[in-house]
Amino acid sequence: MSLRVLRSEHEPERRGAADAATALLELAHAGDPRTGAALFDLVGAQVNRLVWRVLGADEDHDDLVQQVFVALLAGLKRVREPEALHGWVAAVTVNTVRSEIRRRRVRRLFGMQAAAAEQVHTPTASHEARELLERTYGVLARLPADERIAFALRFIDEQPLGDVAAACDCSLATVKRRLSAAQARFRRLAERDPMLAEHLRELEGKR
Amino acid sequence: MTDPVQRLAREVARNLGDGPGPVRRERQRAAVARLTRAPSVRRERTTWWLVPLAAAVLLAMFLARPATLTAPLTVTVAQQAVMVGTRLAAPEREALVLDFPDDDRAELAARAAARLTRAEPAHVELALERGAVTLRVRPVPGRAWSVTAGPFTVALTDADVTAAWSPETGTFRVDVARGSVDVADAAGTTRVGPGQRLELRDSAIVAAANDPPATRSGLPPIATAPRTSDLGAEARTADAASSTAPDTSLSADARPSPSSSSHSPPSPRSAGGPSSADSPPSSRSAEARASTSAANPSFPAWIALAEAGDCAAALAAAEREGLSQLHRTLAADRLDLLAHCARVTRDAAHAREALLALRRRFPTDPRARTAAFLLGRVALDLDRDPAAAADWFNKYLSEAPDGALAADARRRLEELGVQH
Repeated sequence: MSLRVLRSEHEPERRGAADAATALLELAHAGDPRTGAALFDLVGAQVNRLVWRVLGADEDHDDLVQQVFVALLAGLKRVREPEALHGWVAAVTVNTVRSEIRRRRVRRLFGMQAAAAEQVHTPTASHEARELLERTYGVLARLPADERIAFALRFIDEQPLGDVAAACDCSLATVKRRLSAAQARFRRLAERDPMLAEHLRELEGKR
Repeated sequence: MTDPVQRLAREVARNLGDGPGPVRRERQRAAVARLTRAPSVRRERTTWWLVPLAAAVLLAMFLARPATLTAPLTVTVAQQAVMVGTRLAAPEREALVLDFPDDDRAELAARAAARLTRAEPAHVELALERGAVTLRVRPVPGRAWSVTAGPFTVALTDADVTAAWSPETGTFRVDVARGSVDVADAAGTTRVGPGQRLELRDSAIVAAANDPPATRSGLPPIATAPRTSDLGAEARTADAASSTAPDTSLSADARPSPSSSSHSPPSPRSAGGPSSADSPPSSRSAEARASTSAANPSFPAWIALAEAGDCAAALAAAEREGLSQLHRTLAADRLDLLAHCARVTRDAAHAREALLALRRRFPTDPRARTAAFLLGRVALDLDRDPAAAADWFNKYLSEAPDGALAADARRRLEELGVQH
């Protein structure tokens, strides 16, 4: 006997999102001036979260989000399936962030940008939490761009492996390889930071 | 998830949150909405004959241009030419100077950013994105200067002026040292003379920052911080201000010295605000005063700025509120935040005062122990005083031998060559 799902708790929500995506694509194809606002309402939180999690509370965060939306609006008409919208948005966001990471690395290499520009400005009140964020993102900034992105999406944003692979535009095997390399490299670099090293040891002890 | 690295990442996510707050998101949304708003309408109305007509007008303007203004303007930064459209961002701790012909110059303060949007012989324009720019402009016949920031525009031809814009709070400040400038926004134009300061707020940002979306249109304008200054000392700018913009929430004060406590309250010049619309002009000054003193002191401007990451502006705002008063009244977490802002801006004295106040007023709070470590960092990194730094690190270790920063403190003591 085959079973069929008659009603799911998530169904109305999913259907609502699909309807919103369909409406957005219609606006985009019609060249409606409300497209920008509608796009932001639909995916603004997703884009903000991705950029924030990969780069931390970066001082150029808003500029980057704007860049992502410029790219999204430029390519929105090419999206045919409303269901594919969020995956496509993730991929565009990751691409933009990757370019930014590489651009910063080049600028730093030629002394055009101080390391302080990548400092994390976090509103959290606790000094320890602030230190932890600053030091963690300091270590992440030393990872290769692809490893950093995979690490942030999988471990900080806790996305499923399949979604990480789709956002990074690579195979599942490649993502697993990147994650493994990123984890090892992060551990090695974190061991050189007294606070992170001690924190990792504490976390290991609690295992 | 048992791996400590993965646990650490989870902890980072918890501390970091999902992104910036609603004020910044509202601003992002407005910026994205603008990307698709205008062009399609323009395209519908455009007809083919506009193209040759525009070309003819341009040609006529080109042929009729004054002979003295034909040479292109060369703008340089560190003797390197800067193209129109270039985004200029001053480094963290240094100003960035733009040199113009005829000895004119613009100086972007540390961490400020602007775009050179026009550099024509007849018009130079800078779009200030954040921070402060100081202009020294000498008169050249037929040449006008302007600085745009959010909804505000400063126009000048012969003046020394500093304009500062904080996009987070929508605060725009103009200080004129020499000459005079015209500051314009949707409500009108105000002339600001030498020795005067004008402080305005973008009502859209103020509203977005303070109103829940459902009641945005109905709330009165706010002032950024409680002020005790004597507004009777306040002097209006030229009469033109009151005639073109009767909303007296706009004010400019005579500024005898930078240390003077007489500041104009930074109120939004919102023509639609209930407080300005319902009362006659003569009573609005008192009303502005009342709204100033009644401003919500539990979330002052400096905290909004600090939380937006603009530590320099946050510290400046806190100084305007009175640091000694803040040291006596702030809660421990806010003293910690104030010290953080001072440290980020490398202001050792203010960082130390805030941290000492934290230790003095909250001796049992865990942050008081952390403050000892931070006092060591201030002494070491900012004051270059290894002996004082070692004292503070030792104090931290004696108070929190197993604290989260103990290993760091020990390593620093080792680097200082101190036996702990």
